[in-house]
Amino acid sequence: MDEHPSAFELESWLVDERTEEVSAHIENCKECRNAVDRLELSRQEFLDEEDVEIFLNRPSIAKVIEKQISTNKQKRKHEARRELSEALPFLPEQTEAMQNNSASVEEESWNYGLIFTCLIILAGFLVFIFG
Amino acid sequence: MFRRCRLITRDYQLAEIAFESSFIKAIEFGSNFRRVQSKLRWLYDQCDKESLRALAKYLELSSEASDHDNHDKNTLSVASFWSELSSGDQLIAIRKYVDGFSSEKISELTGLSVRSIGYAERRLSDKVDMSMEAADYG
Repeated sequence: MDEHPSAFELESWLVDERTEEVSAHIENCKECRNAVDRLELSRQEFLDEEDVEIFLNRPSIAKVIEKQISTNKQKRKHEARRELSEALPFLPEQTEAMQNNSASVEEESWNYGLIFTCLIILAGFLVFIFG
Repeated sequence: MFRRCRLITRDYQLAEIAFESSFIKAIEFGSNFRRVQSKLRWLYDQCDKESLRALAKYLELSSEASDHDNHDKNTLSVASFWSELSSGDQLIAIRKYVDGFSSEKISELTGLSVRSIGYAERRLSDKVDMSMEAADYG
């Protein structure tokens, strides 16, 4: 590389997006090495000035992070469900509407089961008494 | 990223806004960010967009405001400079003067001919001269 790398190429090199061409040039060019050192120094100064915790706790940023975390949780749940249904294809396929209502449907079927069991016990008891 | 925002906006506060918005975009992009080939390029593209957006908003607010004294003249001239460029010229200006790419490299990246890039550079240079003259007279 005869010409100096562009500002963008030097910055890429600094953040480990390196090409052999730019690496070789920087090794042999004092001017570019100085430019990279200056960039590194300004990066370090910025990191010293800016408190990462304070930055991440800015209301606008904290709000987006929280939102993203809850979205990721939902996504992971969906992915886990999808993976499970792929791994165990004999399981009943759940539609999206069913997934949303799965909790209430489960509760309802449990109630019916309980009533049904009670009725059978009662019928058995009556047969035992009168039989 | 912040340095780039400052380079485009030439204003500390607008750069802060642009930097914060770019960071939010990166968070929102989530795990897709891992799949981006050049992460720096992607982040810088967000910075460019957000910086130009912040400048456009600044210009809009200043034109709505009754007293223009609250708005910085330098920032206003930077904002109006960018707003008067087409999106193609904005991109070429950023690639040329912020990224420091050669005309050949810009041609390779944008798919435009070197001649077209040359014309755009001439337009940009004329625009800078006009802005400087306006600032001198102002």
